[in-house]
Amino acid sequence: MFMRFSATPLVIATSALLAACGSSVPNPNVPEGTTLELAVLSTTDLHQNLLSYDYYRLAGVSGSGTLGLAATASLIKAARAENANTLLVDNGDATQGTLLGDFQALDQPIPCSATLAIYRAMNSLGYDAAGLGNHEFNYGLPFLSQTLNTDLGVAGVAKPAGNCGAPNHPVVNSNVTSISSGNPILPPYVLLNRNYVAKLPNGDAYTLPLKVAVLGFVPPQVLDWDAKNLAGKVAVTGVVESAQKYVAEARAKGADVVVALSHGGLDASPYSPKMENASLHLTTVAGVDALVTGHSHLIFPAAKEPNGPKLDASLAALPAGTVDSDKGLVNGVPTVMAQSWGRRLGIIKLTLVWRGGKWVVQKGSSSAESRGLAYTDGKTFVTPDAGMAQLVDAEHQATIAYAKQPLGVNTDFAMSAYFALVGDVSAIQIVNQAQIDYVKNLLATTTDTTLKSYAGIPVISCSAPFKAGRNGAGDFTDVAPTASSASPVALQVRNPGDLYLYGNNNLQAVKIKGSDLKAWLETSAKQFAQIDPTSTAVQDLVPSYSTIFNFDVFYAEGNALTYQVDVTKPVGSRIVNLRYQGQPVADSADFIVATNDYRASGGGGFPGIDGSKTIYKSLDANQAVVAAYLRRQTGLSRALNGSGRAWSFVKTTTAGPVVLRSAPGKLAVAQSLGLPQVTAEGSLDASGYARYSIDLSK
Amino acid sequence: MRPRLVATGLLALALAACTPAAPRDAAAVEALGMQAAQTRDAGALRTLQHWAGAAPAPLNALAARELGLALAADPAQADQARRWLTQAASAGDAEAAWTLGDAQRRGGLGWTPDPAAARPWFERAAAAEHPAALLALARAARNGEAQPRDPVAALALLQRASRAGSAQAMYLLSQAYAQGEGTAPDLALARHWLEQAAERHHPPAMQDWALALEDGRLGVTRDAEAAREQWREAGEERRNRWR
Repeated sequence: MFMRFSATPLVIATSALLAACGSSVPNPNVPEGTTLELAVLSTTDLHQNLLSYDYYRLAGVSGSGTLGLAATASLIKAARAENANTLLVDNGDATQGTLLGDFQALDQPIPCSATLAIYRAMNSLGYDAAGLGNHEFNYGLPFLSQTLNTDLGVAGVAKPAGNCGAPNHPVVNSNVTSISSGNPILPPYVLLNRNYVAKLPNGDAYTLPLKVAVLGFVPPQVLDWDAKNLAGKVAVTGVVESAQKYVAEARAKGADVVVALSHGGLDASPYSPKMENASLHLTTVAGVDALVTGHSHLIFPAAKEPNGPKLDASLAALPAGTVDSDKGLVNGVPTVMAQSWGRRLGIIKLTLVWRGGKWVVQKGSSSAESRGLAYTDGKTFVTPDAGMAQLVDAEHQATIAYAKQPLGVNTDFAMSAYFALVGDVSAIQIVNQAQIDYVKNLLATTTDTTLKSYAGIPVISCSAPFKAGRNGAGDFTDVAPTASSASPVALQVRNPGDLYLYGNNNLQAVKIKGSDLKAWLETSAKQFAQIDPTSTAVQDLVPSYSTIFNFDVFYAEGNALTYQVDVTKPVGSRIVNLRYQGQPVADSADFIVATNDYRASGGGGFPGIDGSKTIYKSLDANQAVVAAYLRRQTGLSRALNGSGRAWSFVKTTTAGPVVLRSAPGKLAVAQSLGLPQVTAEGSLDASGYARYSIDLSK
Repeated sequence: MRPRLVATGLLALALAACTPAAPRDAAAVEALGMQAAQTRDAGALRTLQHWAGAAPAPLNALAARELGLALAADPAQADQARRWLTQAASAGDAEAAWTLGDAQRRGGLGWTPDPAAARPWFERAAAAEHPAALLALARAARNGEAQPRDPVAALALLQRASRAGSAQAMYLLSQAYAQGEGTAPDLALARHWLEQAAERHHPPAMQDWALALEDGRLGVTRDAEAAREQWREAGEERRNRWR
């Protein structure tokens, strides 16, 4: 009782002093047993998702698909209302991921004077600190330097003169150092002096200073993933080694609380400085009080809302003695992962007690939560913050306008996939030409001795009609449908995405034998039913479109590779007359095939194509390769870019009708393409596809 | 730049003069190996060499491997890299053995491509359940590379590689179960291993998992929203998993 009375006036005095000068000073007069509750709020892996919007479909997303920082902002507001003392941090991978991110970094790089949209949004929310993620390196060090308004101390990477737009909060990282300077490229940690409301033993509330250290870590793999941007410029150390150095340093400088922002997941394998997801091991470093994790886009601890997603299997498999997935404790350290794209807010509540002249974290009463957008009842999603939509509206609209901008090249022919299964290549040849161009250029300019030795080997390419009925009768590639030589059509920025549907694919090259090529073509030809020429029943040429992306169509420059498909033969013996430059392809012949990572690593189960024949892995997306190639053309013509049909059917007379299902109303397209096999449009089937009559004797 | 080079030189001299302390643990060796590979720092290379130990001293296989990997980044030092990696592999380091096998097969480290010569290295690493080495042997068996085709042996190797953590092996194992290669078809196992490979962000597996969520192949429960999420994940991951 006496202590309480005697201590209180002193604390009041200290508190008043602090309020007056606003700085942090030691608190020798804080009564023993005073408590302070701090809620560390965290976002991670926002990936430039501001609004709940899908830039690929150019459409908003709502309901259970809601995402974006504008929605998280509502969670942040609620958490701030619930907790007197909060700290808001972000754990990296904030700047890359949507078309908006690419637009601001690559397509129309923002000037020094501007601030990235994601940082403007974060500034409006008053973040206290942030770490980097691996994706922050995707756009290169000069861009990072500009957008953080920070000299990274890396030789050859100059920060633009003057003050560039940047986040208001400090951005920290402790395990990436400049090779030229030997110093970290960013502050390894920041010491934040904050005044928080504490509770005296008598229950009274008082404002006291707290020194919070925030440290950042990225996976060492950044050097591999972004070698192009980073090799020879920066070095990466293991996260535990960095933590051991800088946590101790921050503590020595008076940090009361240490928050680690670790852009990595939880992996219980023995520690190695090379490991990608080393966050778990940070809890073994003395002095870490709260751990914010990310990178693997998971929810930790387990979602608390009713009917929430169950704990991811990889997290459930972590040893229970180390990891408590209900409370969110790793080795007793409160730990959180807020999924990704702004769909969750990490909330770590720390209880500090003033004991023996310092703040001590009460591990037993700390808690962690990964709060989702429907946290109240599991089904009502928060309303995204309208103010933020206004704040970033200009950037949002500019991105949408960009997607609809002209690409800078005209086409004199329509590119469609309606009749790709009877030989039309109007939507495929240009992709193959772009891929061949890319790989030929690579082989001509490489310094790699192995790749150089492949210089004389023919480069061919394959691609598929990716949008050809898989998702219904309306799901067909159809770019510039009105184009003709009399009135060419300007392609738009988004059209490469129509021609090459899978934005997740990277270009790769494989080196194969003629025998592999034949097996590859046979596998593609599995798409066709075996046609019985004697049958009088209706036969569907392509019974299912579910794996139509595995119908690889090959091409060599000048249409030098040709082959025929005999659909009357069983799977595995349908390819005949396979020729390159007019000569039969020998089993022992060498070819380099430009394709994608899906196929090269085994997608579709093509014999022998399982990663073992890959000779080159590009960081460039096939979609980007196509876009870049299109931009370099003066114009596209059917003669040069749309009529190089490598394959045809072996002519067969059938007793009964053969049909091909496609979108209704496209007979004129077949006629303009010069496909005499397509003779008539028939009735619709139950799914809305029109049944076109196919004459295989033509 | 120049003062730093001088400093590095002095450090090297100092290191030559006084013997570096023994490594604290395996992580310390790997940490120095990373530094040596990334910065080409002469002092780091020298310390690694000291730790690796020259005959007649017993070899520290881990330090020899890290030294070999650091030297391998420089084509001019391919011979030295091979020598240290060979010593490490001979002393039981599986990663070194796999590195040598891969270089031998593809024609790295100054070798001409020779799949048959790569095999003993892969086998040595596979004996320690090295995932990439098991995968290499599995692919050789399924493709008949420098050996007769053997789908049954390939399946067993894919199982081992998958259990050892290779996402690419999990993906190929999923295909083997789906298509009945070296085994009777088993859709449940095909589904299981596809999901496992996708969880580990193997690009083709992420794509096939997204497709399966869309159309229910392999008995996967259709979920349009989860599919969209998976496509987005795959799009983001392509920048990480491109190698």
